[in-house]
Amino acid sequence: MKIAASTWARTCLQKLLVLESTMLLAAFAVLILVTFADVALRTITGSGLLWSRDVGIYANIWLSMLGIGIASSQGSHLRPRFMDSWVRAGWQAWLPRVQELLAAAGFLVLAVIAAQVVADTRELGDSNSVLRWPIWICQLCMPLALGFAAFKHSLFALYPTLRPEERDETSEAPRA
Amino acid sequence: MMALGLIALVFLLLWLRQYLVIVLAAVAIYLYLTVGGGQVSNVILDGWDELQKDVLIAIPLYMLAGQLMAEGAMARRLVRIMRALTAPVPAGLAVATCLSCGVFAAIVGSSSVTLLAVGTIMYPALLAGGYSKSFSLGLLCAGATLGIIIPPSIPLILYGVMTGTSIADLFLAGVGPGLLLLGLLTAYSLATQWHLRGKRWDGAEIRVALREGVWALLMPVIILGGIYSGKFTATESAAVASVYALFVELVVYRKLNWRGLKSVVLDTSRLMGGLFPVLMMALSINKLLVYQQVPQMVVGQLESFIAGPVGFVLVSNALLLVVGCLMDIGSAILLLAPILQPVAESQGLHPVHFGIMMTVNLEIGYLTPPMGLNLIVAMTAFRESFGFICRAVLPFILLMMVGLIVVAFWPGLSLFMIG
Repeated sequence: MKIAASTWARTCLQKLLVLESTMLLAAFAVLILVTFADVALRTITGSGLLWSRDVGIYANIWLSMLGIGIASSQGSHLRPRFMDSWVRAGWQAWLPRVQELLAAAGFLVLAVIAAQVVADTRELGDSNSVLRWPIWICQLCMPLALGFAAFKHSLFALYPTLRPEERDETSEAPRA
Repeated sequence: MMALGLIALVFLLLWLRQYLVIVLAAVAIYLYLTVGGGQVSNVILDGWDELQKDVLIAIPLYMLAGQLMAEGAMARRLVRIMRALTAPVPAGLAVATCLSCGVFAAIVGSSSVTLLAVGTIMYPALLAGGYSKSFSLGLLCAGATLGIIIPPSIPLILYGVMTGTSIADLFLAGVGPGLLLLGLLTAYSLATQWHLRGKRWDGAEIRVALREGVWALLMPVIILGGIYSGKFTATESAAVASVYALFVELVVYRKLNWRGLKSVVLDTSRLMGGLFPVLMMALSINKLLVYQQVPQMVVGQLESFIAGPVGFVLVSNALLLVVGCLMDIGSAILLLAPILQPVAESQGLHPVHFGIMMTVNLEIGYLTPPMGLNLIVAMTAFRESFGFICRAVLPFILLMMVGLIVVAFWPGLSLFMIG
C-alpha cells in the first residue's frame, strides 16, 4: 500500500515537472525571440518593437516563477548550510520531513497571498498600458508556481524517498 | 523585542534547514505584520513591482549564453587559441589558463561555469605539462572567480538592482579590477612556474586554432563591444549573446543538438528558480526597509562607531569576508548591499566603487571553506579531497587579498572609465 502511494506521488511529480518544463521552455523562447527581435529590428530599421520590453518582462517573470518548481524537483533552492552541523545526530532522521513540511507550508502561505493579490488585481481591472493585457493574467504564474512548489514539498515530506538530493551549489551551475 | 523575535525566527528556520526563500518570506511577513501595518499582501505585490525591471531580463540570458558555451564547443576552442598563443612563454599553460578564464569570464558572468568549462580542459593539460596538482587546482579555482568581476557579471547586476546603481557604470568599473586580478594571477604563475619552459610557436596550430575558434572569439567582442560602444544596453547585449551562442553551437559548430539545448534551457531555468524568488523577497523587504527609513537609521547608528572612510572600508571588508565564508555571493549581495551601500555613501565612497569592492571581496568567498562554491565544484569535478583543495587555494587567496586591498584603497582603478 505504501509502495502504491509512493508510485502515485512519483507519477504526480513527473507529470507536474513535464507541465512546468513545457511552459518554461515556451516562456524562454518568447523571452529570447522578443528581446532579440527588438534589437535586430532597431539596428536594421531604426525602430524597435514598442511592446517587446513588457512581453520580455512578463516572460522573464513566468520563467523565473516556473523555475521554482524545477529547483524544488532538483533540490537546488539556495540554502545557507552553516548551521547544518548544529543538529544532533539522532535528529537527522526526522529533520528532512520537518524541513520539507515547513517549506511546503511556507510556499503555501506565499501561494495564498499571491492568489489574493491576483484576485485584487482582477477586481481592480488593471491592465498593461502598452499591451492592453489584464495584469492579473500575467500575475497568475505566482500562485500557480508557488502552489506547485507547496504541493511538491508536501509530497517530499510524506515520502522522503522522493526527495531529490540537495545540490552542493548556490547561485550557479556546477554540472560535474 | 521585535528585533529579538526576528533574529530568533531566522535562526530557528536556518536550524531547521529552511531554504533562503522561505526564511526571507518569513522575515518579510513578520516585518509587514509588526511594522508594515499588517499589509501582508505587499510581500508579493512589492516583489511583483520590483521584478518588472527590464535589466533583470539580462540574468537568464547571460546564464543561458554561458551554459550553451560550456556545454558546446566554444569553450574548448577558446582555450585552444589561448594555448597556441602562449606556447613559447615560460609557464605558458598556466598563462593560457589565466587568459582562458579571463576571456571566458567576459562572456558568461559566472564563476562555476568558468571553472567547469576551462577546468575540464586545462586541468589534465596542466598535470601533463608538469604542473603540480596543488598549483593547477588553486589556479583554476582562483581564475574562475574572475567570471564575476569581469563584465558582464550577474552579481554586479544584482548589486545594481538592489542599490539603484547604474549597471553600465558597474560593468565599466569591473574592467580595471578584473584586469588587475588577472595580472596578479598571471604574474604569480610566471614567478612560481618559470622553470617550466615553453616550446616554439607553431604557426600551423595558431592558424588552425584561430580559424576554428574565430566564432567563439567574436563572442566577447560582440558583448563588450556592444555595451561599451553604446550600441546595446546590458539587457540587449545579453539577448544578442544568447542568440549568437545558439547560432554558433547549433548551426556552425553543431556540437549541441535539440535535446542538449532543452537540457541547457531547463538547467538555466532551475538556476533562475533558485535565484529569482529570493531576489523577489529581498526586494520586497528592501522596499519596506526604505519606506521605514531603516537604511538612514543604520547610517546614523554606524556613523558614531566608524572612524571615517578608512575605518568603514576595513570594517565592511572584514564583515564581508566572514559573510563570504558562510553565504553565496548572490544571497550576500541581496541581503547586505541595500544596508551597507548607504553607509558607504555617507562615508564618501562612490556607490560604484563600493559595489566593485563588495564583489571582489565576496569573490574571495568562492575560495574559502566551508561554503566556497569553487572548492565544492572542484572537489566534485576533479575528484580531489576538500582539504587538499582548500590548501591548494591558500596562496591564491592571499593574492586576491592583495588585489582586494588595491581595489579598496584605489578608487581610481574602478572609476577611471566612468565619466
